Amino acid sequence: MSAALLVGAMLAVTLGTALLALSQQRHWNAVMGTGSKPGNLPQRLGWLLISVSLVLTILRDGGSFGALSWPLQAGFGALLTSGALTWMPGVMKPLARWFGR
Amino acid sequence: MAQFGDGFRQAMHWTHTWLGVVLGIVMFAVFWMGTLTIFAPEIDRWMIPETRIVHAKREISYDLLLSRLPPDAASSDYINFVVPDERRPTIGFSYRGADGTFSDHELDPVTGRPLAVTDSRAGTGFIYPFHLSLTIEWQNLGEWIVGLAALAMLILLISGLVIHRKVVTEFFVFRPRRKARRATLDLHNLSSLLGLPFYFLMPFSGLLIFAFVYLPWGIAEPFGGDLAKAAAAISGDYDPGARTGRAATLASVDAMKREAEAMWSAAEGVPVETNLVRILNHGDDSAVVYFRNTFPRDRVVLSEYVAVFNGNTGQVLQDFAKPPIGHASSWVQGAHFMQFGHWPLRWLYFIGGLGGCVMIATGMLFWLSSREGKLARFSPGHRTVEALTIGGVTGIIIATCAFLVANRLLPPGATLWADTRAELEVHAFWLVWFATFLHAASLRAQAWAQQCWAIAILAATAVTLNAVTTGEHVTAALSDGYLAVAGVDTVLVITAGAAAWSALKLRPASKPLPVPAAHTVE
Repeated sequence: MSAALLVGAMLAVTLGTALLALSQQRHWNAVMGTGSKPGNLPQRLGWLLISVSLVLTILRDGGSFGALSWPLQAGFGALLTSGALTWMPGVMKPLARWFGR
Repeated sequence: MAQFGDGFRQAMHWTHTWLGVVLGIVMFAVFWMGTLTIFAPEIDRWMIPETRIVHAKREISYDLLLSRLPPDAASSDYINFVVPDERRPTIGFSYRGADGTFSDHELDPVTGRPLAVTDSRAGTGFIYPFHLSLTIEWQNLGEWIVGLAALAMLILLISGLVIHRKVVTEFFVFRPRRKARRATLDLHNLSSLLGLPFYFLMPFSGLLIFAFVYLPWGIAEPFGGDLAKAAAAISGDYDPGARTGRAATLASVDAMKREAEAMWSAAEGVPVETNLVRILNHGDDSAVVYFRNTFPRDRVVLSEYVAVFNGNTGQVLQDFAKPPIGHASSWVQGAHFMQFGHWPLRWLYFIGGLGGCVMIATGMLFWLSSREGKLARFSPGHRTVEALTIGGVTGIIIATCAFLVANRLLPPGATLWADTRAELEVHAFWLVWFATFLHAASLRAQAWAQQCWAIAILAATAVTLNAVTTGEHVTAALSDGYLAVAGVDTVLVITAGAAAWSALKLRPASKPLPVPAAHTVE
């Protein structure tokens, strides 16, 4: 259960930061090319997932550990997102396709 | 108003630039060694192979250990036992001799007998103190320098946020294929933003921990200016006074330990165990026995329960628990000490620490690269900063690897002049570090690639030497349950690979500009 919560929190925060990045036109274009827009949904869902990761972290670790581990998890998730955008933007395409318009 | 804003930003830009240039190397050294300190006990196991013991919970009789004291410890005014745990599996034993010098030993947790261990300061004895004082002990100068660097880092973080105009729109941006200067700034901004809360917490908590050094007058003021009294009130220090000279037999320390733990557990509602057993004025009728629980495994906050017993009667003299002012800072201090048993968080700290190193190094690199192609790069100031940056970044990593290699190469009992084996390892660190500055000063930008090769070769050599001298290569260490050794080796292999990759990628930033010819005025 504890490991599942940790993995869940990491997945949520990584997906959340990926969606926040996709909500910016610059990164959207890098992934999907020009001609479409991300809309508002990626940003809202991104913040929601980041909030979910906070809840999962506190459920697993409590507030005291959570206050330390959640910002570091979020930074690590953002690092993965940034790495994907830099070297493998294509891996974010399946995610972006859900929100294109 | 707009002009005021621009002026403020310019002022912050100036502050950010010059604080970074002046103190960047100290900050990098502290952050690098701090990052390694996260795994200091694991580095101890790697560097002191005789302490590679799989920990198991055992009842340790301190009465038995005290019955076997060396003759010069029997009348010591200070005897200390550190209770073993999964990261430090041996019983730490130290005492102060009649001449005032300390003797440190590692005891076998099963037999209680002293282990013949490799003489090394390793992680706990060198890397950890380097992180907090650069090992400069004179007048606490090292702690003041590190404190200044911590304060500078807080100012740099705030000023960096002020001068970074596109925090949101460039949050995820890294463009490695653009010009080196642009890519360096991207990496500096990215690494700064991703770990920002961590980078604030570390210097702030470090300053708080050393408030006794930085702000002694304020802390001592409510205690009539007596800092020792303040320390006693906050951390439970106990002074038994001078020895009376009347011999006395110590009551059962094991019974006192049980009583201390029972008191703490009743107060806490969960089992609380002692981390430290200390006997003051042993063999004298003024003897006291001191127990402390500082680092609970299951939470961030330090507990710092202290119980002091009369050594002869076994009666409680002091049942100390941290006062409210202590609790107020305990979480912040515990977050910095990081002695809790949360392994995923420990690794996140490690990654965060490396991110901090990247942030500091790229900041210094950006200063250098923004002067590439300009005549300024020929100035003595620029050349000095360049040499200090290269030696301060890749140089300290080389020196750390050399410290590990020296640990595996020096024979047992090695001495040179009056220096012990442990001191020779430390000398190897400083000598190699100094040499990297000279190398950087002579080769300038080309030194980056060569120093990366040096890191790769030394890291790989350290792993090989560990396998050859102890037989505990990664798979053997894993099968024997020595996760600490396997972990250090794995990090060294990754370091070697990353350094070799960097060396292949690195090119001198630009061809040197022709030096302007001197003209003779006729």
